[in-house]
Amino acid sequence: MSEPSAPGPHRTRPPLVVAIPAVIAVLFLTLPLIAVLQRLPWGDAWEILRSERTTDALRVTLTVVPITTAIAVLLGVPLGWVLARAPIRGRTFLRAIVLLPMVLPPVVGGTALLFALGRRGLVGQWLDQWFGITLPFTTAGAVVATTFVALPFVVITIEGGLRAVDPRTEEMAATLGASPATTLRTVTLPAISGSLRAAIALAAARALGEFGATIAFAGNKPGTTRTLPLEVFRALEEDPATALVISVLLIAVSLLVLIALRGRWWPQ
Amino acid sequence: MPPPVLRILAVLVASTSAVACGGGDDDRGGSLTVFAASSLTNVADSLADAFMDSSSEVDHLELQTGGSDSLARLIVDGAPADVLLTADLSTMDLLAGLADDPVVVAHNRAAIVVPRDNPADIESVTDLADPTITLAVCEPVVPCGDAALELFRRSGIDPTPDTLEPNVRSVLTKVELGEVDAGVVYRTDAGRSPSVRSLPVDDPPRRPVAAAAVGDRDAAAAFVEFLGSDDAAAIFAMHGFEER
Repeated sequence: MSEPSAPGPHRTRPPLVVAIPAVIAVLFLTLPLIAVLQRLPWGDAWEILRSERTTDALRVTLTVVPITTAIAVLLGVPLGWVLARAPIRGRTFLRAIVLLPMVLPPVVGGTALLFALGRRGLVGQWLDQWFGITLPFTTAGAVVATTFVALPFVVITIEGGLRAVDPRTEEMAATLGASPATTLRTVTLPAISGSLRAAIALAAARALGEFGATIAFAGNKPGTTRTLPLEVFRALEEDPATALVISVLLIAVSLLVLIALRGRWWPQ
Repeated sequence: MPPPVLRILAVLVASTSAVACGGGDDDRGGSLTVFAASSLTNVADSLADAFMDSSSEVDHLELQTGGSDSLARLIVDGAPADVLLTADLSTMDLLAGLADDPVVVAHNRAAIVVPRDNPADIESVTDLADPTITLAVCEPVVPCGDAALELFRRSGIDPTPDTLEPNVRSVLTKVELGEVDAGVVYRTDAGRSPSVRSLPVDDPPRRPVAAAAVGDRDAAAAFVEFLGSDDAAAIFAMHGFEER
């Protein structure tokens, strides 16, 4: 079963008032990417990709991104369901609060996380005293920071997907004797599989590029919390060629992720 | 409906031409743009005020702070700064050909700070070698990171910092919040913050504060000259810097 599909391709030649700004938008968005490719030191690219600094950062990123994505999906899908389906009051307010990290400058989010989960933080001090857990300056802390930023993308995507599913299909399953859990598993989740894919891709893409929250909360330690974007930031200061090569690596991976969305950015 | 499109185009054209004309020399009138190392944030404010009091030409001073190295790179990339103040001399090499020869206007020293309650009981430099403590220093490419490395080298230790921060202020913040057990900053930063305590260190690494005029505006040269004056020296001293 797939998501209710969009009405068949309905293509219209755009009027100039649409076409001109659209072309400007494309140029504006692609020009910097072209400029990066044009400056790329192709000859040294392989050497740079294999350097210890790059592979260290790549290893941290490849640890942080999948874990972040998994946590964001495990927590975000249920919250998206609650926002779309549950009979709760203050839904608009709740949605605004949980989507806030999307608009908050990430470095502010990271600092706020220090106040909350840092060693002296609101909750973090108890984590430290009772369990001996401190998150800042650890890979787990980098996961926390990126999850803070990526989670809302899952919530909003899943909520949108669920809103597009006719609740009567779920009611019908219930009438036919399916338990809520069975309905969720056999009707609802398959119906939003496209949104789920989109949510995973968005969360992963956001986690991949995360910088501000990570450096503010988790710090910048090679091999532990220094992800690819942090390595780019450092390299921009002392070694622009490395910054360019890693940027292109990030662009390539993000492009793959976004292409994997296959037009499912917004559920129909 | 062409008008909105035209308006958008007009805005785009206007903004690009504004960028294109941004390099014009004397359209900035009595305003001076100063890029200063993070460690100079407070003293630069006082210096700017004193300079404007004494100058009839300059009535507005735009101050941008950051890591010395990234500020220098911004200027190399065309950022419109009139004066650069760095926390060391070598960073000035990046500006070769773009700026006048740098002048040393004061000196600063590295300092080890711990949160006021000193959670890890750090009493000397050598305690920093303990791998169980958390330690914040600047990136080695930033002057304060380089000073930290020299401090460690002289003390015969080789600690592994838990985080390499982009500038001295973010090191100080991590110590102030108690998120790290110790950090290496400048003496001037240590003195400013009531929530940290500095450890006694014998002859900590000394770093020059350097100033250079970028471009050829008279007002920029006048500001650099002012920074070398006795008035400026008094302000530097008031903020805990050592003489030039």
